[in-house]
Amino acid sequence: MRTELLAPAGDLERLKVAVIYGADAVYFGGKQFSLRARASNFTLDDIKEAVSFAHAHGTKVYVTVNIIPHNSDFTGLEDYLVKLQEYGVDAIICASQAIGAICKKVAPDLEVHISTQQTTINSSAVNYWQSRGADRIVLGREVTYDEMLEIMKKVTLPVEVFIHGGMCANYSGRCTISNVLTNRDANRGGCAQSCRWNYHLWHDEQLLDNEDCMMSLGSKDMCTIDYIQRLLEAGVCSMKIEGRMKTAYYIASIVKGYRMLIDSYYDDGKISNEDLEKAEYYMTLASNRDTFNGFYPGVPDREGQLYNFITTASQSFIANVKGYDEETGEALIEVRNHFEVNDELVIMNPRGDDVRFKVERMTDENGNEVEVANKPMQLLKIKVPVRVDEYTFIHK
Amino acid sequence: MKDLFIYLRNTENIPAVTVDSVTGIIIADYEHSSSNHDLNRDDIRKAVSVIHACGRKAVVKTDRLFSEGEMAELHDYLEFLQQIGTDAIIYTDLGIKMILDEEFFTIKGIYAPETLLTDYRDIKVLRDDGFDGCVISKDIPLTDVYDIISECPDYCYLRVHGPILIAYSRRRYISSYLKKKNTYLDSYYLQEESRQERLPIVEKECGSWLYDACLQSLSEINRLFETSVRGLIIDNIYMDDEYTMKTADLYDAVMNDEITPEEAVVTLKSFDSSIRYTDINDLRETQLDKENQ
Repeated sequence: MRTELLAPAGDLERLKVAVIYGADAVYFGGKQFSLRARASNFTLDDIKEAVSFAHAHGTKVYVTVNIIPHNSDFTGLEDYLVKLQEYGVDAIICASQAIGAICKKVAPDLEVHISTQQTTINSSAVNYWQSRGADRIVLGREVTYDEMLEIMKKVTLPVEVFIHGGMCANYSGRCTISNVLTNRDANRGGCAQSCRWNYHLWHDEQLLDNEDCMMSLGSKDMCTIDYIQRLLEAGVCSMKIEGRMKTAYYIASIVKGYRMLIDSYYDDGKISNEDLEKAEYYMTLASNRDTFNGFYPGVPDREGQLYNFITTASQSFIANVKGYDEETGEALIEVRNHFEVNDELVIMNPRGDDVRFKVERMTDENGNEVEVANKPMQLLKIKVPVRVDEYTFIHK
Repeated sequence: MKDLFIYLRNTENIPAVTVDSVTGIIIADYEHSSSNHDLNRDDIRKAVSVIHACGRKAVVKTDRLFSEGEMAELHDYLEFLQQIGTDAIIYTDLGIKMILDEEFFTIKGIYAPETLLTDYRDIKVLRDDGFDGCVISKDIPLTDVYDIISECPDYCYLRVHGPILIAYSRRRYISSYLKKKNTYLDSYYLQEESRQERLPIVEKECGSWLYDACLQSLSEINRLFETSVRGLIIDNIYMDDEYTMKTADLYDAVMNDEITPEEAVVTLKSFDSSIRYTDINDLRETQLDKENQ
């Protein structure tokens, strides 16, 4: 059975992007019962449309119901789960034993995947969840590659692992710094990422701050292209990208990079250095934080920590395609960053090689010629050398 | 009879516990728990024996998460705890529950995943699934705690006193920052750059623990004791046993109406003025709790 590539979606647009760029499965949260409260998240109508779109492309749909609930959080849960089942959702991802048990009772067609919020990091814990009816375990991100191999030798429950994206500094689900410092409930979708803030370090009354940076608990992001072949060989059932808060462009580039690696492995039996170089290019297109291999090489020291963190916005994303005219060969694009006539741009092809082209002519919606595209969200028409579909991205 | 457990660091202090209401002593070795105190297996064996000689239950904290490479040794340690007659363990890793079940251990297991038990439906699932007991998360408002206790009578334990754990990581934060691999066990603190409060942090070989203020429940202890809670816990991380025993005496005095809660709080603060306390009544509703009302 082929390992699935599982991508996040903060809204319908990002879901469609993930599907088109090659995700085998997508996950997202509804308006209730999900972490990442600040992601746009999906209404029930959105979920219905999402399932329809994804299934039409052969992509599975998982819905996160992964809050650590309080007594009052169960209102409407049963009806919600029944609706998810009715709409054809494939699985829920949950961290609460009660939510999992309720799901098995009222919506038995839904698979129950145990969230990384439970921090399952050994085979006995995996077997615990299997014995309680779980259909899949998402391992804690604190598992090293060697440990993961040992776990997989001892369990039969399908294992999902993270391969990319932001990392909790602490064991997921075991951190309430945000609650204490901001009164925002980390385990119910309100995490303020207080771990990334700056802290003084004291020993008794002695200040131990370094001269060049204050202490932070913040983690670098995970990027594991070097481990993909090994993870595929190990037989994990799913490789997950984090990032329901990330942009559509980020989703597109990251999914494309990993899709290419996975396809190479299945087509050629291995991932070549050339593949890795290409994938690295896609990883850097939309990223704004330093990355590392997570815990796969071993428990990280300083190389996994992020000090003096400053977000940098990528300017490489130029436009996304809203439509294509077969007769004229023109794409209708939505401008996101500055570019000009005669600039050389790249179509990030959802499947297949990217296409480089020179912008020869641009017109606005009224047919007026435009020399400089510098109004975000403006719709323009440009001639492109190949057919492009909606949700395709163009970058420098 | 309700349990009242207190955590002690040193075996020699166990006989000094004179409070009748204390039914059990919690101990912990260095390797298998969050404890920053250096007890080894021999110490644990001796402590269990002394606790039993004092007519109390011996409870051992094994409140860490364990990686795959540690599981064989963990199994061995659990066998050891059973052999020496440990009455119960307090654990946070569900792998331990699986070992206890598969190997037919008779040792009682009290599940304490810190942040994860915040509602009564989850706790009912555990109860029905054969968990011997569980510790309610301290991250929820007191009203929710009472609801949970009421819905799950004679089952739940509650930590009423001790540092509030707010983060647990496999990473070694201080070693990474100082570029010096070491253990950092006592008197290390983080202070967010715009705040005054200092947060105690402990780093051991297996990871880091970050704490907020020390929880205290003196104003609520009588009411809590009248509920159907199975047991209350006075915990400790970085204070000495003298502090813990004096604190247990205070709770006992409040429960016996020998002192008012207000007086007890004043006395508690006099033990060490550097300790920052959070009253259990002040455990805040989060923004979301307020929105849900």
